[in-house]
Amino acid sequence: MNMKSIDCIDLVELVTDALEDALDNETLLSILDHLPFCKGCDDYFNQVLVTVKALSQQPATTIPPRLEASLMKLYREWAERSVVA
Amino acid sequence: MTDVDLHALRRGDERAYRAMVKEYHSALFRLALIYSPSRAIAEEAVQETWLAVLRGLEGFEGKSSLRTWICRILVNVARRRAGLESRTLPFSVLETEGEFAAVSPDLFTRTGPWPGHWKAETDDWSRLPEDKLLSRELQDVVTDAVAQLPRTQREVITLRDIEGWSAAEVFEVLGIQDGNQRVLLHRARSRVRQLLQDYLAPPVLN
Repeated sequence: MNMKSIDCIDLVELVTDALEDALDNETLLSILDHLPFCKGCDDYFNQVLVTVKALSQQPATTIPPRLEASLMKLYREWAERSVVA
Repeated sequence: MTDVDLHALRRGDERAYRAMVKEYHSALFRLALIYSPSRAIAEEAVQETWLAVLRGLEGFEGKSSLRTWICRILVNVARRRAGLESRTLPFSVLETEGEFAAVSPDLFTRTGPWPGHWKAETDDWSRLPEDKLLSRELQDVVTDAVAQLPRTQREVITLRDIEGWSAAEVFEVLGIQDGNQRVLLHRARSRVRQLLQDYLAPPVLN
């Protein structure tokens, strides 16, 4: 174990900071020391990773044709006024 | 978006414009929904944004990327339409103060040889099949979970995790510093994780 050991209840509050590379070395080491020996925290850490992955897979919204058409109209009107041939 | 695209846009190239409108629509619409009571009103905010983009195109100096510039305009437009302060608000202290626990303290021991450790096993999601993660039902749970978040948390998780933007880009759009972004992201992810857990393994009622 590292000099500074960490409890599960505190580790769960540091997952985002760990993923964002925002922890000091000592704290990061205490997490890395803890995880291999604690299935609860290891599973929790993985749950957060799965959550982030699920968020990244939210389906994109495609533009409704009606809105696309009206945005194209805006552009044509703008181009007629603003673009010098 | 490259300088060439920007040049094409200023020249009146419809194809370049259409491609950009399509590419940015999802992010713009998702952001607009945060401030809008309906999809129709969010679409109006998107439309007003493009109008402002075209008006400002000549003056765009390229100090920020085109996409962060456009999203900033969207946020200002949508906030103004919702009756909120249109300029970037100072970071809301209300959303970082007060008690917060990523996991209910009831799930950890208070006494015994290992205080602060898990009382029971945590669900193992490592074998969750990919198609389950992509399923419409699970994705709807995620969408609903994000929609329920406090506004600033929702802004940050939308840009960082759903759209995959960097902290620097999110700062350009929302004016929230990295440290505060992490606090908001942590709270938002914790809430979404909790709701996903409730969906994947509904709590057993006694």
